[in-house]
Amino acid sequence: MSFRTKLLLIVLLTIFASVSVVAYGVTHYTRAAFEDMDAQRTEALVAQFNKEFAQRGEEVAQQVRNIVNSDITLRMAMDLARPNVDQSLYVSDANGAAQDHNLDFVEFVNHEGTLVSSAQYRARVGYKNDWVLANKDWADAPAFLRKEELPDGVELALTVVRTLSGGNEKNLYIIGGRRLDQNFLASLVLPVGMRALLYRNLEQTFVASALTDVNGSVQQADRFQPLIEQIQKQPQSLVKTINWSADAAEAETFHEIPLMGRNHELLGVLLVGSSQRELVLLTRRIIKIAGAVAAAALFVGFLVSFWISARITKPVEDLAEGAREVASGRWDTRIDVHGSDEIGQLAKAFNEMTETLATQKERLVQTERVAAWRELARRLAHELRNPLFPMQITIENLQKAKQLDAKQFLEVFHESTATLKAELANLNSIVSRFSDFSKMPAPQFVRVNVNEALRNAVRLFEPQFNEVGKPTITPELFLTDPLPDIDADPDLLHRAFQNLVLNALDAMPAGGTLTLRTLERDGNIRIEVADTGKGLTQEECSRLFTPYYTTKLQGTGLGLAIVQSVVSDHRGTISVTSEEGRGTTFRIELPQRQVAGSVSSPEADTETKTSPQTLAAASD
Amino acid sequence: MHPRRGGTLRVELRAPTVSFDPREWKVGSTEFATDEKLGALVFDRLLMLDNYGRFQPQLATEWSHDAGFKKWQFTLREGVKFSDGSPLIAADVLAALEPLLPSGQQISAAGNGIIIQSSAGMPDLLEELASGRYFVYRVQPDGTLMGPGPFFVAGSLPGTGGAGDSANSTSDSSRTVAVRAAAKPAHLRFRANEETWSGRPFLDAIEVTLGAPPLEQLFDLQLSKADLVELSPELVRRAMQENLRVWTSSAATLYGLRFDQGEPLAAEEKLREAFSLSLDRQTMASVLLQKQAEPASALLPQWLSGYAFLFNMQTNLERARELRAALPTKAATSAEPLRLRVDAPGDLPKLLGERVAVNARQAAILVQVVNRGLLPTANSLSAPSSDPAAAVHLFAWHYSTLSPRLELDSFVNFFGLSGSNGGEISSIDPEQLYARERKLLEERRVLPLVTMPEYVGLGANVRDWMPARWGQWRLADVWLDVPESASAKPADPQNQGVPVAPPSAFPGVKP
Amino acid sequence: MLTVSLQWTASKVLFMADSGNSSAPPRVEIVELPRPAFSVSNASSAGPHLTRELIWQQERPINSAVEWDDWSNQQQYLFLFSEGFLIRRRFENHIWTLVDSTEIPSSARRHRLGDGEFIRGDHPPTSLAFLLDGKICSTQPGERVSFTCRDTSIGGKVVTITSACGEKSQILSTGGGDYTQQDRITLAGTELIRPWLSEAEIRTGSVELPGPVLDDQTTEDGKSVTAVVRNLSTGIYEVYRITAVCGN
Repeated sequence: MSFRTKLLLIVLLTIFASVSVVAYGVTHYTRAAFEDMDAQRTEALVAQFNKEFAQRGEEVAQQVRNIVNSDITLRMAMDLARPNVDQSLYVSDANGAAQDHNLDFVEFVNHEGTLVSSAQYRARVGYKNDWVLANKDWADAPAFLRKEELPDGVELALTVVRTLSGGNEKNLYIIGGRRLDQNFLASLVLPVGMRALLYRNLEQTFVASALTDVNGSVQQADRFQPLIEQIQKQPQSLVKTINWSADAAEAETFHEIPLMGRNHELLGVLLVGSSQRELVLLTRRIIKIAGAVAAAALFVGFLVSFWISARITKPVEDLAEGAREVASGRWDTRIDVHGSDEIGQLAKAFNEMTETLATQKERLVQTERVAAWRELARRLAHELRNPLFPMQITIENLQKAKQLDAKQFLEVFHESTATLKAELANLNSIVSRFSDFSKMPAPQFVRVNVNEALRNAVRLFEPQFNEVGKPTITPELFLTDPLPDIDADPDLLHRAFQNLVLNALDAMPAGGTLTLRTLERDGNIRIEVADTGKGLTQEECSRLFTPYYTTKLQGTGLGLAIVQSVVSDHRGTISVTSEEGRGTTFRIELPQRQVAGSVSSPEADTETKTSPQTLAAASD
Repeated sequence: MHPRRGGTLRVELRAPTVSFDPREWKVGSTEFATDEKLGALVFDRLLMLDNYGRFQPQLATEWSHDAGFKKWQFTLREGVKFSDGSPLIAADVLAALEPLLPSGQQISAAGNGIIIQSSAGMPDLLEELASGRYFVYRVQPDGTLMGPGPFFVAGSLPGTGGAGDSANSTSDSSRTVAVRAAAKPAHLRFRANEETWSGRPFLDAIEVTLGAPPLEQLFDLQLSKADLVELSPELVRRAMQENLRVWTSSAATLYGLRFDQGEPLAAEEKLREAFSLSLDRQTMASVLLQKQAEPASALLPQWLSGYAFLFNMQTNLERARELRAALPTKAATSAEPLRLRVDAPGDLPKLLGERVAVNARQAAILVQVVNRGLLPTANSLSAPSSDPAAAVHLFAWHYSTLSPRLELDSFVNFFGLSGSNGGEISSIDPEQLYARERKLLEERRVLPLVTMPEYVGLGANVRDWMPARWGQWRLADVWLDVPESASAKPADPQNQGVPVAPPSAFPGVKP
Repeated sequence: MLTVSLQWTASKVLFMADSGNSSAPPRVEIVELPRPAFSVSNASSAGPHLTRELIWQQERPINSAVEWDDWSNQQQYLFLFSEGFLIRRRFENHIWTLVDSTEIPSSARRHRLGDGEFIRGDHPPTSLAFLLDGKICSTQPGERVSFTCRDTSIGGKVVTITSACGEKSQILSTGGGDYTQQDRITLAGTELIRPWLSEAEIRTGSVELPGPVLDDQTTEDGKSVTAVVRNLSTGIYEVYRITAVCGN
């Protein structure tokens, strides 16, 4: 995964996470605020209800007081206090009182508890209504809730009782009341989304029709059954939610407030319902907005982070590219420097580094070249001095032999010319060897079986392996067969292998095992030539392929240089691993195919075969 | 003070509809009362019973009967004319009465008279003919009816014929004037029949407002916007307190309970007895209805039968509870309340029904009061068939005849009670009648509750208000005591063309 | 226990005997009686100055009546208008016996209460005058009843009475009630203008009658007044002779 992708992902994730957190936070806060508001509104509504209740109670009390204070009532009280009074005279008085004083329920009860007149249930006149006798004096008793029996059912009434003495210690009880029904609810000011319901608990069980709202009957009233039944069991305030449908927006939360009668019986339930719609819709809107914000932020973030990452990673990628190019040997690689930030400084530092590297490389190459030339000069001088010194001696001997006899002279002469000849041949050989190295031919690629080439090389040395008087060398061949053919010059390859085997034999003066191995690795052919010699030091390893370097007392030091040259001409690589006392292993990797034209001008490359670049490549 | 002529009597009635065809009148229904009162303005009977218990000749001047009261002969008054001026003949009487008479009675014409006969004796034929539907009318070709009575209907009503110019103009086949629901009350205008045999009535006209609410009637009377109103019982005390003239009839309507024989609970005899014993009629009448009603122990009122006082229906809650407790388990454990449907319209029957329910509850009989539907087409005796079924019905029965036998027959026939002997003329003998009613009461399929008189509120200047105690109004005798100047002015511009008391020479005067 | 009672219904009277035993079905005996047999006159006392005397009663309506003393042949007549007939009765053996009657032409019978109303005719009276259909008619009391009429216009009818004390004749007035109420005839002084009478004066100078006065008429000698009254408790039409008594 690229840095850019990572950066992009991180930025987007961060945006997404933060938007989600904000959305969650807002939603949570909103919900809390809503619930808070809901509770407040419910509380206000309940307070309003209580106030209305008290106010209506006071109104009823006032009207009952007015009835009590009227002359008609006083006269009635006095009449009814007399013995043998005709109570039928007053049967319809309650009707008049109810109409005059705008009350739904008015009843007059005499001192015996007998109903004298009833506005709401006239048919009960003459029957007992003696619950009023429980209080001798009802003065200042507040309004209370009561089940009011009517001809066609039971109603919930806000009731006030007052007494009026008619003399003879005979009281007239005046009961006044108003119906507590949906009209009562109509007086409540309801905030949007809220509604107030009244359940009149007049039966033992739940009765759907007893539940009313401002408009009368409530739809799906039976859904309230569990709510009502719960409060019937235990009359205390509670909060319940009804989900009207699968849609959460249809849910409604109900606060239930029990309304109790004088004897602490549950007579009604006020239900304050608040719709969850606003909350749910707001939450949905928040989530929707959050989604939109997140999408937009992600998009912008994507653009921005793309741009940013482009700004940041481009130089880094340039750096990486540059580094790769440096690695591939282009020391003069430069990258563009944008700005002066860290990336800019890094690019600048990179450029400085490559510059320094190039400079140092140049110096090193020059130094090495000088050293090489010195070595060459020294070796050439050494090589040349070896035959020159005997020749000098021979010539001096010859000059001295002039004084000798002829025979002796002749003898000496023959001896000397023979020596000179030999030494000249020696010189010639030395010169031709140097000449050969300089004249490495350009490879001519044909399909070559590497195994075959190796076997040919080893076969050359077979006589030496078991040469009498010399320590035995055991050749071991681990050749992968079949092995793909490669594009190679068979002569050059043969020379390289020959040099390597020779090198190995030289490394094992006391005998040992020569191991040859071929295998295919990563599309390349790997050839390993290992000896069990004394091994090389680190220093020796690093200088191994330098031309004219040798660890041996004899030899031109050109063997491994030739190997390296051949390998390089085949666009392969050569490396060496060695452990002191255990032996050395050369490893060559050759590509199976040579790119056409790559060796079009092998002559031109000859110079460079010995160049440090080749060394660098070979020692990679 | 001698009567004055002129003026318009303004009458307000509760009934929203009125029928002018006696053949359509429902005997026993409360609607009958209105129909009969207004019918009496237009039609006449053969005879009438005066307030002193004497039969007075009307369209018949003489009558006689055979020894067994099986054949009666009536001589018709001569010179009687219908309101269109055509003479009344025996065939008219025949045609009018034939569809009205009970099936056992045959009517025939004989010269200037008619004969009514039956296989059984009819000692009460005069009572029969002096009341109820037995008006003489003539059906005109267009289907409307006319009569020889002191008034005729003018204006918008289906004409009953008459000498007037507009009488026939707007008539159609309908003989019922109805006030549509929520429409303004219908007005009827009756004009004095100048040529009536009984002498022109004192009033020029009678204006009747139908469908007037009770309280409005009282207000209109107080404000002198009406001269004669029907007072509903609950307003009587108030009217009296306000010094208004109130007239009270004898018991006119019986409120009672009828058990539906089709309902299983109602068929339970012991339950009916317990129910009956739980009823406290005395308190119902004297307290609940503020003495405006009388407790009823009999089906026929005392003024009609004479023996009603012999029946006594006592409340006995203890016995009622015992009976209730001893009911067969099936009926006793039934949690279903007994449904009581108030078939009679109005608040009073509803109140009575509620009181019955309260009474019955004392005997542990649960009663649920069901009100009848609001369809105005139903009369007081039977609610619309769409109404819920009920085991008990609260009915109102209006007494419509002066013959106790006929009244009991109608009652028994209408309610399909046992003891009905079909079309046969039952015995008029008071002892047998008594025994029959006693039997009916003991069956307890029908329980009388209270009887209610009719109450009439009268304006201060209504004079010679001399109605029959049983509810016949006799408005032809009534006159208005208004100053000369006021009475000379016609109350209605329409009336201007009507000549008042046209004097003319008598052709028959001897020189 | 046997209970005997008399029960009135709209058209009948029942004489009943019942054994008011609640346990057994009661035995009831009922005898029906004709209603008119129980028409009972309701007498009342006369006032101090005016006296009344019931001289005639009948069930059929009377619209007007007047006594006529025929001095020529010492006959006492009672003329009545009843149900379209002019009837003449004569006092014989303490009974007003029907002498004869004549029918009023039906075309003239326009009044609901019946036509014909006696008035005071010429003075001195030679014939009995009455109003019929807006005309003044007269008949000769001593002859067979027949009458002749002439168109005329007359003023209001004034009923006067002369007491035995020999004073000027005084005007009589009736009460203001309608035919549903009892009435009284009151001495209203000598003026035609109806005086404002105090309660006491009405009591002393008036005579109470058992029903409304349908008609009253001064007799030809001016010493008495014939009044037609419908007895409200019986419904029977009665004719009273009203006289003014001097002093106590």
